[in-house]
Amino acid sequence: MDLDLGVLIASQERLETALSHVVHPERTQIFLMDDGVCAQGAPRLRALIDAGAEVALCAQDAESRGMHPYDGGPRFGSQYDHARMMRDAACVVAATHAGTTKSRPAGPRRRIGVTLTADPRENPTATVQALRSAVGYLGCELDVRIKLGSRALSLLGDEPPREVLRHLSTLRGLGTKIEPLPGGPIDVEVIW
Amino acid sequence: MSATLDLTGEVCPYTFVRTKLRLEELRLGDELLVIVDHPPAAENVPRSLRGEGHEVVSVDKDGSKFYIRAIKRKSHRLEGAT
Repeated sequence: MDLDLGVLIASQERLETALSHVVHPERTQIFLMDDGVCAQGAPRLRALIDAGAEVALCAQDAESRGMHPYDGGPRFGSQYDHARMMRDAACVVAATHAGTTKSRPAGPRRRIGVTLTADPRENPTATVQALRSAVGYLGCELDVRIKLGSRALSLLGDEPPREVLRHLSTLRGLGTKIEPLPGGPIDVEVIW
Repeated sequence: MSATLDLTGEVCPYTFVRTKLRLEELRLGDELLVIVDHPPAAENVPRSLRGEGHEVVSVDKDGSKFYIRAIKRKSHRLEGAT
């Protein structure tokens, strides 16, 4: 399948906005994570699956919310599905609680900008989800840049929250730039 | 040559990232045995292996663990994840 569109949905409230970008379901991949997995039974999503869209969700996020797979529903996948979608889709829509972006990267080698806007001490969940996504992107050999908004700058300090330590260590070990906004150029943006 | 990677207790995305890193250390044609205990990982790790061009020979279950045998068929390059 030529992948025209990849849609990341990490916020249940942004489901309809994100899905409004779908034109050709048979050439669309959708990935649900964070509380976006709560939308797994949404009628619009079911209709897109029936129309040929490939829909997967983060099994870890779903199981942590007591969810289980069901016939005709999204496949219980992993961050590999997410990363591969970011790598292969001609156009990427990313919908999180922080906002929705639409990117149309040119060329096969793409730089993914993961922008953190929340204070990790106040909202560790968003930060954890952003950083684990970024680790997944590296697993698909994507070039990742972590960009920090003013409220997220504490990640550069000596004592980031415990929940993010492993992800930060991995990202740094794999040579990922973690820098304040605006940072360098990127091709695909995901804002958390 | 064959190698074993025990990912018991490991969480996504480190299941497929660590698998990929371990494969980097092997030669083409070498076999890797990956052990996981999270049922979705028993499907998703093989999926990532096939997606990256490797051969999945078998997936077997013994008790609460899954044993995924794969053969390295392609070269990739990452650095070191912990």
